[in-house]
Amino acid sequence: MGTRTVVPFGPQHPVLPEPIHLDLVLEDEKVVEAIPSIGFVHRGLEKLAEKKEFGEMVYVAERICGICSFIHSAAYCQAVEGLMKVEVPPRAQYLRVAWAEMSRVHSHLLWLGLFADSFGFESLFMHSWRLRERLLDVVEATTGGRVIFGSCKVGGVRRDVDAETGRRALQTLAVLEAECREITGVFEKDSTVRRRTVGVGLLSGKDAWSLGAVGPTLRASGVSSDSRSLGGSAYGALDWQPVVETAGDCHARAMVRARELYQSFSLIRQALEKMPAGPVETRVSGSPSGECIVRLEQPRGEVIHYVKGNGTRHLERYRVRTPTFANVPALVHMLAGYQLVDVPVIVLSIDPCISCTER
Amino acid sequence: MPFFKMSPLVLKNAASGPATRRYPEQVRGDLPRTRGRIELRLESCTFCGLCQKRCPTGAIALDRQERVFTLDRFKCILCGACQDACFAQKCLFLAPHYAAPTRTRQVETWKQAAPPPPRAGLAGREPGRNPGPPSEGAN
Repeated sequence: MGTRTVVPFGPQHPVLPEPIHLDLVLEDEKVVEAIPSIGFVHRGLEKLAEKKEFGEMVYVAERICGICSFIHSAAYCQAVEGLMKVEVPPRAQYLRVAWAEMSRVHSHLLWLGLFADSFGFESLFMHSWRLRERLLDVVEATTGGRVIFGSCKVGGVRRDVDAETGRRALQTLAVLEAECREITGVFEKDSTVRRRTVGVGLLSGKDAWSLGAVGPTLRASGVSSDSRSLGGSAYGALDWQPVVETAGDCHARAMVRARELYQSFSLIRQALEKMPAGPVETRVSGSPSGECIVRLEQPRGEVIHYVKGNGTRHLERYRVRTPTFANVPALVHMLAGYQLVDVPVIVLSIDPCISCTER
Repeated sequence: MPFFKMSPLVLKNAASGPATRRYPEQVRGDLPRTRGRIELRLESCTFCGLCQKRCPTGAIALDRQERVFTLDRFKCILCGACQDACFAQKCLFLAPHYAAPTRTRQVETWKQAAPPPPRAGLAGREPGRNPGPPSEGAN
């Protein structure tokens, strides 16, 4: 056994978009153990639910994370709607699907760029973000915001998408989809990418399941698990299948996300085309009481929102279990046995979002 | 051929020029829905106070007696709750252009010289009925 060295990794590190700290126990260059610690950006947003009215809390829920913002607000709204027994109009449910999938495309393009950056492929990083910018324009045209959509409210959505805006959005997305094929082809086949990612960070399906991994991390290990298949919002009425890869390495995790881009494009198209006419919100009256749990699929995996009301205008308890939190045990397991140089690639492969995790 | 997957993208990019715009010579332009900044049509404001009540961050402050409207642009999160609340006169709205960057805290104050004429902007209401500003407790 060689001498063991502990190398601190993060919270400030060029490859990390957000602060997570890992103590890497190394034997020469090989990682023996990784000890994670979080808690650098805790903001106490769950506690804020006791002070804000349940309707105002949507704005806070949306700001839990800057990337999966819309799905946080949708999950919060669905949970409160569950408490108050509110029926959301079908048009609002289709709009929620369209916007949730737009946020998935923008998150996956952002991640593909950061992933390329983690192994030093800077031009691929810039190309991914160039495409993401085009999608953000579509988001801005339909919602009014670039990353904070501000479009979800308890009882429905706050703005409608008229036929002309929808048609133009679909036109832009069709062009964008063709351009995405150019960069996902590079991720799939380029030898530079494959050498750094194939066989790195292996996670078997059994391990992924028992360590509680979620989202693309779990699906890349051959487990077909996607909380969209629960049929929430309008997902039950749309044609789609969870994307599953079997290799369980960093490349498979990238390919799950790359293939999910096209699935999301298809879901946006279906949602905007099949969207029934009608109102986009129901009037909500009264105060929430009882308990409700909602599971939605974020770009990073399954998010759980728990709300408890006590009949006042404020919630008694609000709790969010975020996908990154569920993926950290799997990450620690994956790191053991790989070289120090592979650590950034493996850490990035779970798409860590620490702002979500610490709230 | 796995070695040349990136080349078509690089060649296309070299031929098409930069993807970014040469701001400020080349401006993208506003999108009609963009939540850029809050604007106020002061002349039609009745100082009902609904925007102040609905603002989740407390960026709006009203003084009904002095008829002074104060907006703290650094507190505003551009959620649009005030715009939704301002249903009577539609005097408060989100304009599609962003506020200019600034180094100091921007608190804007408007003072209304005279209250708006009682029936301004009440098209569609039955004639002769003047609802006036809602009482303090109205929500």
